[in-house]
Amino acid sequence: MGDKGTTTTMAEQQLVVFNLAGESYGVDIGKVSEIIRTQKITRVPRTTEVVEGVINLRGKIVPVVNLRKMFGFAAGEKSKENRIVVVDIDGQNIGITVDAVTEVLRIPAESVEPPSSVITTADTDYLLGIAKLDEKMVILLDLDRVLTHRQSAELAEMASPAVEESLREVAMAAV
Amino acid sequence: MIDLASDVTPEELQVFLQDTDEQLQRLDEDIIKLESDGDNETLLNGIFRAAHTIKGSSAMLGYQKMADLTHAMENILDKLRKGTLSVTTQTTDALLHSLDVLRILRAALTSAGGDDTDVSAVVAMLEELAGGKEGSSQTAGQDAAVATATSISLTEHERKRIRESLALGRKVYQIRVDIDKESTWAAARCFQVLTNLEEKGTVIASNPSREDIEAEKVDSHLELIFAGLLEEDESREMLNSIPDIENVRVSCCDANPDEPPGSADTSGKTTSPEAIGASETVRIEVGRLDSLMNMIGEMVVARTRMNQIGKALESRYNDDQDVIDLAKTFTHVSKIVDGLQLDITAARMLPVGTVFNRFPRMIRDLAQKAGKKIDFAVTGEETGIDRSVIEHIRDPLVHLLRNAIDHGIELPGKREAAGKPERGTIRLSAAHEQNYIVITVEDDGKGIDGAVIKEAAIRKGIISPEAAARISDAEGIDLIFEAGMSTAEKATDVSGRGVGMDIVRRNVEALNGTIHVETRVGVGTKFRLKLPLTLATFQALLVSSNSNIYAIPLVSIVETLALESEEIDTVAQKEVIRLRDRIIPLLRLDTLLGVSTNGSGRSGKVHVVVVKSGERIMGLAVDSLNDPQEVMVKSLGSLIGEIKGISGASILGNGEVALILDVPSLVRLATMGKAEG
Repeated sequence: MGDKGTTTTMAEQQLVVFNLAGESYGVDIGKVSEIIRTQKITRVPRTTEVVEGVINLRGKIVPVVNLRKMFGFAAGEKSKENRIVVVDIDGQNIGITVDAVTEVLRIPAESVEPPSSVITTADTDYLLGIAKLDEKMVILLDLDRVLTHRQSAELAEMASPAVEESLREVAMAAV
Repeated sequence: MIDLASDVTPEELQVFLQDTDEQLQRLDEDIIKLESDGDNETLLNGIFRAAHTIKGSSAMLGYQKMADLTHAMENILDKLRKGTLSVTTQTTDALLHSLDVLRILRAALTSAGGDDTDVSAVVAMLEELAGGKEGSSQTAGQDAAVATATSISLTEHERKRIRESLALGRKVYQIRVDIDKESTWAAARCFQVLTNLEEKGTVIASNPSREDIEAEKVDSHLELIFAGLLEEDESREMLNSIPDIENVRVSCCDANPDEPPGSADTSGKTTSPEAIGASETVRIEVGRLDSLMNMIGEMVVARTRMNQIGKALESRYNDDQDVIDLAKTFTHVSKIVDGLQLDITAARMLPVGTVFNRFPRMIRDLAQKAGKKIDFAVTGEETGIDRSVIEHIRDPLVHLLRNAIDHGIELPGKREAAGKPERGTIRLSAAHEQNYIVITVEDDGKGIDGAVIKEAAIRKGIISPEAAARISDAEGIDLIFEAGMSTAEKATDVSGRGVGMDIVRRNVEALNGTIHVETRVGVGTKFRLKLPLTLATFQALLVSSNSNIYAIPLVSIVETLALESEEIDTVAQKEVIRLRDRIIPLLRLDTLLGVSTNGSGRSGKVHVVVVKSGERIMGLAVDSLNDPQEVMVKSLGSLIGEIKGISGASILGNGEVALILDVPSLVRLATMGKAEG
């Protein structure tokens, strides 16, 4: 990425485009810190299925979210193309699993249409718009929305609400 | 007169606030000490000086109310010093109350609201105590203002700069320049004086200040403190060459800027040890220390990995000279890393006294309110502890001390009836114990009765009568740490303890620390807190369970066992093991954490880590045990948030991520599980 990569004019937007369940999604390149190959993910107990776990990114603990599960898609086949896109949300690194990263695209702003006009499989709350290009369509994701704290609060809610409810502790019955 | 109040720069204010905070803290401690020591002259002088410093600097910056109030305090202190007034509860109360008002005034300086505090009532009270008006509050301000017009009162920062200049071999002069009263260019001439001097050195302070001179608020004379390499004659000559200057007086300051540099003799250019010491400390941002700590933590972890690789190489090429050299070098590097870690940890240490020194005042006030007579003894205030830990120990200690006053120490009458001295004693002490700091809070009050606690716990439904019957009275005392035991007044009536003890324990355990209580009915109670010196790294045992690696803090581990599966019994369909004379619950770590287990092979040896939280002990069954090692705590981040049973993650030498178990929370999970099942 040279100068061209960082200077996006008002009328243009640069996207990292990836593939998820046969659809093309794009996120603003400014949000993407890096793209890494799939590596060993340490599963964290008591989180929802959406959280794959955590990885070691050069000495930093980075949580990884499974985007397919988040959007309610079926689990995909494992392939060599699978990547973790590490994004920066409010200064925190978060990884999202994608089927494959396809390209970095420069799109004119006028090619983006509001999401309401098209129906996609993903929840429209997460969408910034749809970029209609000559040969294809790219769905623009609102990552801040996808991975907001509100969302994270839900993620952190443990699998067993019964445990949560019984906050009153019971003394240890020695046996 | 020069209006200085509007000219306070943010820097000046900062210095003033810091200075005042220090003085106020000192006053707080000393005034309380004075009450017990009586007419201690050194102490009184110290108090007087502190009050005087605040008066001087507040008057100089134009904070009239503070100046008035400290002036009134001075009157009392002066009388105490002269012996025309003696130290009583009344004088102590009055002085302490004045400090509170000063704190309010000080707080108003940094808040946007400005201050509408009325000091006249306090001043009147102080005056009445001092017996007679002797100088209305008005004179205080004038005194100080006149003082600033004739000499420069130095802030701590300026004094430090003087000391530093002296230490660097500069000469420091006090210079007074008289300017022709007829001159229409007085401000310009003053400015010229400053500029000329600045070419040869530094003007540390001046009166009028540079800002005033620039605003043309000048008198017919200028006083300043100058540090530079000029000889006395040279500087005099230089200043005399400026037009309209009538008289130049230059006197040399010696190395004791704590006294206002008055007519100091010209010979002195000694550098006191203190002066040299001042230049040998460097202020460092906490953030930078944190980052150093972080890096050294990673280095320690990487070292572990290097050690593993080195061992592997040695066994493969045991005769290779390079491998032997590598091992030697590794040992050397390893020692350096140890040293670095020690030094950086030490650099982040603060004496626990920074927390302790607020307590004498609190104890005095609370004891007075409760009608109790209490002596408070502190030892080990100098014990160092990491700043990340220190922030978190205040609250638990406040709780413990409050409890000791409210529920521990009896009323004087009761104490005498029980054959105890009328005055109770609370002891607070701190000491290092290996990598831990141990803090104890001890009182000689009425103690805690385990049987009573058990009863209360049964009544509150915290424990079933059957379960209560199974635990001893000694174990029953630990029930004070249960959540339900707190808050209600009834609990304090019966138990004598319990206000927020669950919070105390939770806070301590959040720091990877432990809390124990020893008590004897009628004799007293002792709480013992054991806390790690730093939160950044700690020793942990690595275990694996269901192909995940977990780190268990060593501080929570009682022992590890390898059992045959026959040694596991079941009681009411729960697995238990026998640990000497006790039967303790055994839980599979993966099941407890809710990680699906697929009925992992339960044949052959079972590895068990026996962990404790308070007095509760349980066994955690895991797949395998590894060696203990130092791990560094990292947060799981806000996306994942808090997970019950997990306190964070750590990156191991080989790059794998281990989750750190939160043993207290796991134990709670385990007992809750029982309640449901």
